[in-house]
Amino acid sequence: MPKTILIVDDSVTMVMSVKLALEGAGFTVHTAADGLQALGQLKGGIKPDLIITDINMPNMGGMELIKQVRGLPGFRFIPILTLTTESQAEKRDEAKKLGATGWLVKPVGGAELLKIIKQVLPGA
Amino acid sequence: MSTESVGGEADRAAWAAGGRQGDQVALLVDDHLRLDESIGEQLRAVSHDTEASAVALIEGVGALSAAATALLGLLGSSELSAGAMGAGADRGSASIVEIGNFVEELPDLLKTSVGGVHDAAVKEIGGLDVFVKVIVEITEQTKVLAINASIMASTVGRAGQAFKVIAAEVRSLSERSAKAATMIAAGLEAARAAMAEQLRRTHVDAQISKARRLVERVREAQAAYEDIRQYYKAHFEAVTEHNTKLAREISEILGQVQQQDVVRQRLERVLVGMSQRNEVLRDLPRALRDPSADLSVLATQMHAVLEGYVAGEKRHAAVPADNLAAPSKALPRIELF
Repeated sequence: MPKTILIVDDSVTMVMSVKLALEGAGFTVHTAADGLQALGQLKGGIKPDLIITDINMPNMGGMELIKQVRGLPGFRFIPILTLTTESQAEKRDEAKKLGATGWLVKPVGGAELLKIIKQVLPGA
Repeated sequence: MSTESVGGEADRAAWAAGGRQGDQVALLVDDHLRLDESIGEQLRAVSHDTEASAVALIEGVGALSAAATALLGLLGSSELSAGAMGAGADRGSASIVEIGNFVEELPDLLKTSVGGVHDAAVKEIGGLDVFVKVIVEITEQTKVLAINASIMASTVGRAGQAFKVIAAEVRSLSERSAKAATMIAAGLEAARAAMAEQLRRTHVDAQISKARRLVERVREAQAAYEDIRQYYKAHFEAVTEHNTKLAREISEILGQVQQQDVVRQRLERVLVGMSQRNEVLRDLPRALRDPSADLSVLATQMHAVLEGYVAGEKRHAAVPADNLAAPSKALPRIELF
């Protein structure tokens, strides 16, 4: 059964390009335009194997999303990767403290992204 | 912060001609703000246009990716079909070779069999010669018996007349036996000759040669089939390799498209910085007209805008896409916790 990934980003190009790359590799992909929308999907029953989220987004940013997701029952150990233009250690440390699994700075090539996903999703 | 609006063209002309310093600065700031508004519109248009281009590019790449995936699927399906057909062809080819080998051996088998039958028949016919000899011997003895009986009949006179008739009958039997023996011997010889002639007419050697040519053609056909299969296999592998490479390149293109988002965010930060700066500038003409106004407040506000913008840009420092781990103080682009 294919693994499911939730992409959270307010950029149309980011969502489209990452979705296409991941679907091409055989993953099932869900998308959300911000943290609030993503949280709604998770509470609505979507159970992804991995979440890839941007940090700076309207309505609810990536940091708050990570915090909220870790508080949801059944989502404590689901890997969460951040994919952002932020490159400051403080932000990275904050994400790590909140429970992020990894920190990726845009742009990340398709092959590179798949390599990381295989590391955090063994068997993918 | 408040905003200072500038009046119509008449007011502008009057202020420019000899207005107060505050009025002239108001004109200057107004033009500056209008220029910034125009620049801002262009920057937003750039962001929108590059996004539209990136979306179109992704859609095109998506269609290309779908086509490549479909082609790979088709090739995979063809490989399975070709494998099944190849297995069938191999079985057929093996059968043909088996038949060819059988055909090749058949004339020799026939030759051996026919020769065996001939030899056996000749041997049997030769065996019948003994019976002919026996008949000839019996004939000779019967002949001698007839002569003796005839002599005996003549010595006994009249009483021997009946015995003489028997002797004549015995002689006649002897002659008929001799004729029969001759006929049997001639018949056996004729049978031997007929068998030898029939064996000679079977043209076994010619058939062997024909069968060998047939087997050779079968083997040539098999070799041609093997060549075609190897040729097809080589092309199939090349196409598969190209498609795999294409899929990889498509994936990398999609990664590069992310640069549009990086540029968009950079433009947004520029627009936010310009907006914040203009908010401060809008208060400048009024402050210049007011002798009691403290210009240092505006200077502080402007400095805060500058620091905010610079700090924001530092937080989003550009990292070369080909550096997995950027040197010195910069964070690695990819880090798993």
